[in-house]
Order: sequence, then structure tokens, then C-alpha cells
Amino acid sequence: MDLRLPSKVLEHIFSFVDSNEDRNSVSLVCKSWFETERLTRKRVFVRNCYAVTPAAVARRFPEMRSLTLKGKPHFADYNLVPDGWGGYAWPWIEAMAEKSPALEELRLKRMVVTDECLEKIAASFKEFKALVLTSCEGFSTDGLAAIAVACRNLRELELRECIVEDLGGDWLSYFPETLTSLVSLDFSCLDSEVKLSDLELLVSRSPNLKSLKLNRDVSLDALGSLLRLAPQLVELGTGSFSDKLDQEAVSKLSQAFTELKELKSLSGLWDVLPEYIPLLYSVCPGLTSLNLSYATVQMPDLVELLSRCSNLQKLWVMDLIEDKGLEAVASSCKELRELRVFPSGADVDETNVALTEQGLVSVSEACPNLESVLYFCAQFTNEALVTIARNRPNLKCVRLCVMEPFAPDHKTQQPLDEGFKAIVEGCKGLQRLSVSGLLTDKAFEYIGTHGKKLRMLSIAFAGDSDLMLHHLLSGCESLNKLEIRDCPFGDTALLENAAKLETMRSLWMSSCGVSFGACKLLSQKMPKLNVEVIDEHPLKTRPDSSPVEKIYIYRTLAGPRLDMPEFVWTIHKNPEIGVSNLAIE
Amino acid sequence: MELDLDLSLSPHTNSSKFGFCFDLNKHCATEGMLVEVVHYEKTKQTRFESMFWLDNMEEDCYVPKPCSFSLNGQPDEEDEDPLESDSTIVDDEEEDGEVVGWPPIKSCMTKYHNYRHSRNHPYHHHGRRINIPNPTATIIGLRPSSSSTSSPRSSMYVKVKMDGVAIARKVDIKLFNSYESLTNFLITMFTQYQNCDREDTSYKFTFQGKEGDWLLLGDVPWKIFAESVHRISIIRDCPCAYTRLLF
Repeated sequence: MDLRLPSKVLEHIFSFVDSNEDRNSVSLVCKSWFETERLTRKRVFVRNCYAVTPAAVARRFPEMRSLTLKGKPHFADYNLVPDGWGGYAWPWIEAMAEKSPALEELRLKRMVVTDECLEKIAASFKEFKALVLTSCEGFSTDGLAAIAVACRNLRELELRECIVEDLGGDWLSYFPETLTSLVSLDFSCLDSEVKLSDLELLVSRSPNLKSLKLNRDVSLDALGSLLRLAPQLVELGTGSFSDKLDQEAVSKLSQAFTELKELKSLSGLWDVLPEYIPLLYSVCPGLTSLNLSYATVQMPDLVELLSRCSNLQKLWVMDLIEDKGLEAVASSCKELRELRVFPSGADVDETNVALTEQGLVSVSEACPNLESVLYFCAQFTNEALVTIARNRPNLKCVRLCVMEPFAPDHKTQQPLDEGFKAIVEGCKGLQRLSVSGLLTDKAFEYIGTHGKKLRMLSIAFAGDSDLMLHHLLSGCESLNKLEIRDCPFGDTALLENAAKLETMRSLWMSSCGVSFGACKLLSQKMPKLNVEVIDEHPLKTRPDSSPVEKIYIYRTLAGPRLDMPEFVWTIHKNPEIGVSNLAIE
Repeated sequence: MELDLDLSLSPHTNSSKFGFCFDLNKHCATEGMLVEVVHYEKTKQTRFESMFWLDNMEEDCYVPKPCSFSLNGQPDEEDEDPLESDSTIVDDEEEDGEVVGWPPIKSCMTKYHNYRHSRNHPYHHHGRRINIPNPTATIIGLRPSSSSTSSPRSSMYVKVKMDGVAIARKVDIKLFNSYESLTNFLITMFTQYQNCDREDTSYKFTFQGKEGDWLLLGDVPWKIFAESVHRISIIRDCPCAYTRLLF
């Protein structure tokens, strides 16, 4: 008796399976499930563009409509990855143009995208609907013009924190008059001014426009007229909020804000003047997301604003909020799920910003849904971390950046080992952790022992020896991404735990003590890994014992990549170099 | 005379004005200097020296001991020369010895903060209004602004490089009132770490002024010096262990 479900039935069942993680699990059950799943998957997510070839992806998922790719390692965000390292979008776009011309959506993160790429997209994908580029670089506004002019059904064009060669604001005028499908437009990272009339025309013919994020050059006046044209906005990123307006203009702007009945997300607010904060009051109660990273107002003004945001779930703010402001957030924003506090650089101005560990403690006490924190602070204490862990065992993401490397608990002068122990022990579902401050190997023993659900870990200026790495690699079962800089371990732990690396997506190590010989050995022993030695200042002769600057190791089915610059060394590129007599124990 | 011991490290590209300082006072027994880590010139074996926790090093390289973090001030790490740990965490070409990528802030944000802290920015001191002509009653919801004007900067840090010493220091010129007090202080500061007898050594002090010319200390009256000095260089005759760093 054939016990297999007919594929039509399977297809129907799988149509309810959305998340890629679930779909990946489904595809492992048996051959027929694998086949049915792959033929029905529409959204493909490749988290490391070098882990698999574009052709293989296109072949496996013929019905792919949406492709998401990530390129450079996360530390590229902080300038640790030299220019030219890689992460090129072109091979993917070229392959998809040929094999998946029905592609509708492309989302790229930390990749190099050129104008040629954009032109190719415009020319090849007739049904193209969405282009979302996050932290990408390599293209100019000309490429944007190509997209604008050709993609007749474009819904989303979002440039999030990209580095764009800005040749002027003309690109916006290339959207044809026939384009009425726009749902989301984000050009907040561009520098030059777009023509207001073009923008107004575009907005007025886009009845489905839900998300609009302007760049700094769009004036406050212009904002008013845009809001009047698009009162249905759900997400708004303003331009600069500091122009001087006369009273009439201000009241018109205020009125425009009150018309935004659907607004849930607000950002931009560059340089917002304190006297304009009240303009935002009308939208506050509806907001679930507020990004004040560029809002240079002081604590009292922030409190006025935030005390009205009772539905806020996501808050990004500068440390100008201070402990007192965070207390206000704690009492007003009970729905808070994500908090990020960034440094304002106040020290440079010789002002004292009263943001300490207490601010985070207050929020952790009062906000029951708090799951994700990113907190920059001058110093911290173990006691605070213990309290936070006790208050909020449901935390999933804790990224603490004590700005001063090696800073101990400022009350006890002890390392922060015990504090992080409390975090990993108490927050059993913790998936992402960034540690800082003074930490010994003990901290990593705790993390290895308790951080069983930990997927991503970021470490800088910490630990004492190879033990730290050993604890992590042998203890953290779910570890997927590990990035470490400036920590004092050598080869031993890495080589001993080599097998672990195949279960992880990637490992980044820079300014640590790993030797060239170990890299060679690892490359030789672990063929499914690409071991890249990134060395911008290589010595003429590289003895095996010499430490390497940066190492990026990732698992791959694609084999060695062919687009490496000269400062990246891999064993495949240099097979003539033998392997030293270091042994993997 | 109180000087703050600060190790000034700031992210590399865009020379971010974050310039966070961590206070070595908490970690080192010594007081009173602004220490700046300077990157070795490329010709030297910089890659090695820049990492201070290495084993298996070539003999002739200066090898700081592994884990020589006297910066953390832990009691069992005595006899650690702070310089050993200082000569580290250096990465790039930047003469100022900045640490790349720390604190970990994305470039779009550092770009914005640089802009804010620059002279061009109308609201130079974030949110506090300066020189606004009549912030007017016509603006709705006008509330008293949150504070005063900022105080003028009262310190003037100048880089001091001693010949043969890899690490430059920064001192606040405003804390001195004469050449003698300055030179005495500098000599004391450097000899503390150099194992050099100060009596045995003759020092020559030169400084670079606004115009870029190098002059001998004392060539100009103190007051003019104090306003125009950009950097100071000390040449001395006593060779010591640290000159090994150069070769």
C-alpha cells in the first residue's frame, strides 16, 4: 500500500508552512517531501552568499519569486572588513536573470551592488516588484534611475543605510507617470536633494503608499505637503526637522500630522528642534515603532514625547535620554519589546550624559515584553546584569556595549563574568549576545554551559586564553555565528573544535592570536569550510607561527570562491604552500 | 595638578568624533597622562607588535607577554609595564593610533555625529540652542530650552613624541605655566617607563607650531607657545631597551 500522500495534498499542506526554518525541516523528511517543498518554495533566503552557488539555488527552487541574500560578515558594519573583500551581487543577478526571470523581489544585505546590477535587474525581471538594499554599496543614483524607469510594477524601493554615489536627485523623476503601484519608498541614506514636485507627483499617484522615508534634504515645509498627499502612511521617515517655520506653516504641519491616522512607525527627525516635538504628539498614541537615533533633543523633551507613546514596541534612542528618561519609558511604554540606546558622543562635547546601567534596569523591571536590547553605556555592574536577568528571563537578544574596553564592574572592580552568567543562565531563550567590559575565561565557561540556545555571539577585548574559545565552541550547541576581535587566544581551541565549525554558518576572528599554520591546517582538514585569511599587510615571508590579522571561516557547498582580492589568502588559492607540522589533536 | 589618564581611541574611518576615552586611571597605578597609542610605521614588524598576546614569536621581536593586560588592574598582574599593554590594539595607518570599529557603531551614524560635532552644524551642542535670534513666541509650544551655553574648552591636548619610544603621549598644555614645568613633567613621564637615568641623558625639545615649522622650545615666549603648539618632539641620547622596538 502506498502510504505517501499525493503531491497535490502535500502542496496544499506546505502552502501553510511559511517560515524558511520550517520549510528547511520539511525538506529533510524524505525525498518526496523534499521535491514537493522545493517546487513550491517562493521565498528563498540565503544567509551567506558564498555558501552555495546561484545556479544551485535557481535549480533547486524553480518557483522562486523572492530572494534574500547576505554578503559580508557582520563586522563589516564596523569597518573591519577591507574594501574589495567580496559579497558581489552580480553573479546572483546574472544567474537569476537567466534561470529565474520571474523573480519579483530581491533583498540584499551587506553586498556590493553596482549600477550594472541594477540595470540588469531592470532589464531582466519583467514582474519585478521589490528591491530592498540594506548596508549595500557600489552603486550610484544612476542605477536607481534605471530601476525607476523600467520596473512598471514596482512596489518597494528601499535603501537602508547604503553608501550610494549620489549624482543628484534626478533619479526620482524617472518614475513614469504610469507607475501607481508604489507601496514603500526609502531614500533616507541619500545625500542630495530630490525635486519636491517630482516627489509630490509620485506620492499623489501612489494610493497604496504605506511607507515613505525621506532623506535629510527634504525640508519641513515639503514634509507638510507630502503628508497632506499621503495621510494613509503607516511608516514615516521625516527629513531634517530643524528648519525655521513661521506660525502658519507650523500649524499646517501640525494639522497634517493629526491626519496620519494609520501611522505606526516614525523615524528620521534629524536635528529635531525641541519646539517641534509637540507636533508629534498627535501620532504618539498610535506608534509602535519610534527611531530617535538622530533626534538630538534632551531628556525632558524626550520624556514629553515618550510618555505619550503607550503602544510603543520598538524604541531606538540616543543616550541623551538618560536614566531618568528610561524610567519614564518604563512607566509609559508597557508594550516595549525592543530597546536600543546609542551613544551620542556627548563626551566629546564635555557634557555629562547621565546614562548608566540603571536605565536598562528600570526598563527591564517594568516592561514585561522586553525581548531585545542594544545598550551602549560607559560602564556597568554585575548587580545590574543579575537584576536584569531576574526581571526579564524572556530576553532573546542582549547586546551590551560597555564603551570602555576592559572596564570592570565600576562598583566592585570585578570582571563582569558573574553578570553575564546571570544573563545566560536566567534568559534561557537567549539567541543573541554581545558581551563587553572586563571578562575572564570564566565568563565564557558560563556562556558555554548555559547558552544552549545562543545562535549569535559577539566578543571584543575579552578573555584570557584558549579556554575561552574552547568553552564556546564545545558548549554552545546552537551556535551559528561567532565573531571575535582582539581576544587573546591562539590555535589550540580552534583546532580542537574544528568539527564544530561545520555546524556553524560562520566564524570571524580578528586581532586574535591564531597562526597562519593553524589556518592552513584547518583548511586542509576541513574541506567543507572556506578558511579565508584576510591580511592587508602581509609579510614577505609568512612563517607558520606568524599570527594572521583577520580570519573568516564559513561552511560552504560552493567550494572556494573565485572572486577573492589579493589580500585574501585561502589554501585553494595557494595550494603550493604545504601544511606545517602543527597537529590537530 | 590633576591630569586625567585617558587612552584615547576612536573609530578609524571618518575619524569619528566619538573619540571615546577609557580611563586608564582605573587600571594603571600611574596618574596623570593622556596616553595615545601610536601605530608603528609600516617598515617595522608592526603586525606582531600590535598583538600583545602571542606565543611563538621570533626572537628579535619585542614580545609582550601573553595576557599582559595590566590595564585591568588585577592585583596578580604586577610588574607589568603598562607600556607593554599599551603598545597594542592598534590597527591601521592612522597616525593617531585609532582603533578600527570601536565602539561598534555603523558608519551612517558616525557620519551623522561627525556632522553634528562639526563647526558647520547649527546646533553644535546637541539640542541646546546657541545664538538663535529670538526663538519666537510664534512657535507653538515654546518651552524653556533645556540649558545654558556650553563652556569654552579649557584644555589643550598636544601630542608629545619621544625619540625611541613607540607610544606618543598627550598632555594638556593648559595645565602648565612655564617651559620648565612642562619639560620636567615630560621627562619624568617618559623616564618612568624607559628605565633610563634622567641624569645621564640630554634632551632636546622641539615643537611644531601652527605654521608647521619645527622650533626649539624656548624660541618663543611661553604664552605664544601655549597657544600655537601642535605637537612636541623630544630627542635624547640615552639608548634603552625600547629602542629595540624600532628595529
